[in-house]
Amino acid sequence: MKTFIIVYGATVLLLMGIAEYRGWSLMSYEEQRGVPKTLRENPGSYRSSYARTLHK
Amino acid sequence: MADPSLTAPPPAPASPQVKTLRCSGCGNPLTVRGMERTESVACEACGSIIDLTDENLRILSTFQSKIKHKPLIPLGSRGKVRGDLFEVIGYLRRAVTVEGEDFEWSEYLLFNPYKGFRWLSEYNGHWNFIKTTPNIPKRKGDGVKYLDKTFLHFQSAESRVTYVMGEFYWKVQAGETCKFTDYIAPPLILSKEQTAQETDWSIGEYIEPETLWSAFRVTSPMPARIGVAPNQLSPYAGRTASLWKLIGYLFLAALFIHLVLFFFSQNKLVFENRFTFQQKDKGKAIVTDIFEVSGNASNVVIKSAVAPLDNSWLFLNMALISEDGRAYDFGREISYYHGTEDGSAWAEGSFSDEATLPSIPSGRYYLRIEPESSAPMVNYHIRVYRDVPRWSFFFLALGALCILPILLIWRVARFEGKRWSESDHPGTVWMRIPDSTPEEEEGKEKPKGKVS
Amino acid sequence: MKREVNCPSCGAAVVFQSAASILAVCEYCSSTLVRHDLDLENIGKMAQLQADGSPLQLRAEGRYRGDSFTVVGRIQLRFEKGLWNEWHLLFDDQRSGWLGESEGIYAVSFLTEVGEKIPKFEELQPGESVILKEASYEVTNVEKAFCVGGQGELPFQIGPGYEAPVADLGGPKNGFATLDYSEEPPLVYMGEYVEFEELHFSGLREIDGW
Repeated sequence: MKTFIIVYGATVLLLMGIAEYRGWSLMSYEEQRGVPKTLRENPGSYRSSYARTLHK
Repeated sequence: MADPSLTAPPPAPASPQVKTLRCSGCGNPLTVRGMERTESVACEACGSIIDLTDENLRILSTFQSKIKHKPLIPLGSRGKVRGDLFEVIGYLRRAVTVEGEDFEWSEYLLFNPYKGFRWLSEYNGHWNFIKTTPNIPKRKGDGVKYLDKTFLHFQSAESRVTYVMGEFYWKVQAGETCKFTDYIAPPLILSKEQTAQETDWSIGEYIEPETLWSAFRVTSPMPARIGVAPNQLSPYAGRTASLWKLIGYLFLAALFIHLVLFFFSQNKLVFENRFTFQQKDKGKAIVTDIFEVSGNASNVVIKSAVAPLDNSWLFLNMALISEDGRAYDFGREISYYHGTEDGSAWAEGSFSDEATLPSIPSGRYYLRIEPESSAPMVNYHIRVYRDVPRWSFFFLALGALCILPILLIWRVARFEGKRWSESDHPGTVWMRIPDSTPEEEEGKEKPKGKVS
Repeated sequence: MKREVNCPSCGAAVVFQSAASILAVCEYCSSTLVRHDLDLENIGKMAQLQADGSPLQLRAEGRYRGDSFTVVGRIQLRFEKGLWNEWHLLFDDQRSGWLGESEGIYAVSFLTEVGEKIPKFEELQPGESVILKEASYEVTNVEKAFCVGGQGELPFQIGPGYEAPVADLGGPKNGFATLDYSEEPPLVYMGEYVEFEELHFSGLREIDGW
């Protein structure tokens, strides 16, 4: 029982530490790469995937 | 003066060792190993129990048993138990009937002419090493106190002898009964046996079957242990305190780690601006100035607030874009609806939103925002924070740790529940966790109550 | 202290190791000899003892709570359940003690003077409480025991068939006491139960195969 408590407890603490340190979140998002620098000058050229979401 | 009849050295009372007698019932040879200290012997062939104290070896009673039981440790075996050599000289089986159910167990009589008699008892594969004690325990509630140890009442019942083999130090009668009461303080068990003539107490200690199998070089297979014996030591005995302490330390460690990380988090406002959306801006995107996101790859929290909405919504398509070409796309909706229905007012929604992007590497970033709304005009306020500490993971960790005390209690209760299931007090685990601390006893020179 | 005389019946050497011993059984001819200051009176042959398998014997030596003793005498008694022995111990400091042995249970006791009044034998019941030297003892057995016989030297006179009403009591911390009603007022012996190992015996009877 003792080993289990130590291993389980350490795992929980480790996960908690990593989650807090790395700022984990449950929010859904999409990561895109290769966004060109010129976008800053021409914001309209980049289309967010979320823009296609229809709303009432 | 010399007596002519004087011949040899001082006569000592005769002490034959293994004697062979003839059964007065059937003439079968009987082996007697008890050296004048046993009073009865059972004839395997005809089931007669012979009175050894009688010159004519009269028959005390006769045994009828359809099954011929075979003792796991054969009669005549010798072995060292707790440092002393003993010989198995007798075997009997006793039974109790509890709520219509029969329970039977075995007892082995051990003998050493210098140490006297001991017993081994076996039930469901669990073994005890027992000796009689002249000390009378003191009553304590429905339990007893013996040698400064409290023993809990386990069972009171009447047993009857169902089978005999070999010899015994009293005149055994077929089917003889005795009232017994067992008290436990694992690994010890105190038994009181009452017959019409006397009351005898004996103290027993749980002994691992492996110890006996090697001591007596037993060849028959070792029966598996079923359930929990009354005085079997709990695997948690004496360790629960340290386990609870360990669990407590884990909770404290969680708090400590969280507070340290909380204290060292930046929680820095890296960008802030106000915007206005008008329907004519529909489809147009805004890019913000570049802002610095520093430190370890923690979170980025985008907090949006709107001027009061009246039954309308604002949808923000946002992307956090880094100078080196990474974009984190997400969309947030803020809405507020209200009204009255059947006289009571209702409201749904809010005027703010918080979006947490996880593990964003440090660098230079800007926001691209493409708003949409059902209202003609909306004023909104965006703030971007770096490395915002959260309590949610701490509470999740606490919740996960709470499983440990639950698990520990459940396991201890399950073991003790099994222990007490065959007692007179089933289902009363909570009142009857016996106080057994074997770690304490190891430190003493002569362990109190250890049976030898 | 130690007195060596010759048995008036067979001439064998008879030793009185204890000044308190007044009776000795000649080991060779079993004559029972009573010591009267300078001479010995032969009061008859001692009955043969029953074989009871005891590992103890005369001249065995041991230690009780650090004090060395020698086994110098024995009385064998019979009661309802069987036999028991009272071994007469002579300590190095000339003290006389008794070792009761029955069914593998051993108890050391010494003749003790107590201030309390001793209940009558007829009044005693098992389970009853008796105060001895300000401590509470519980009666465990009440018996009319018969003397089978004796060996070695004894501090009082015994004879076979002699009836001794006795009561055994258990007290605090392994305490043990015996009330011997063969005299008036009854004799009180007090001591404790001991484990065989605690007496560190040497010179025990040799038993074949053990």
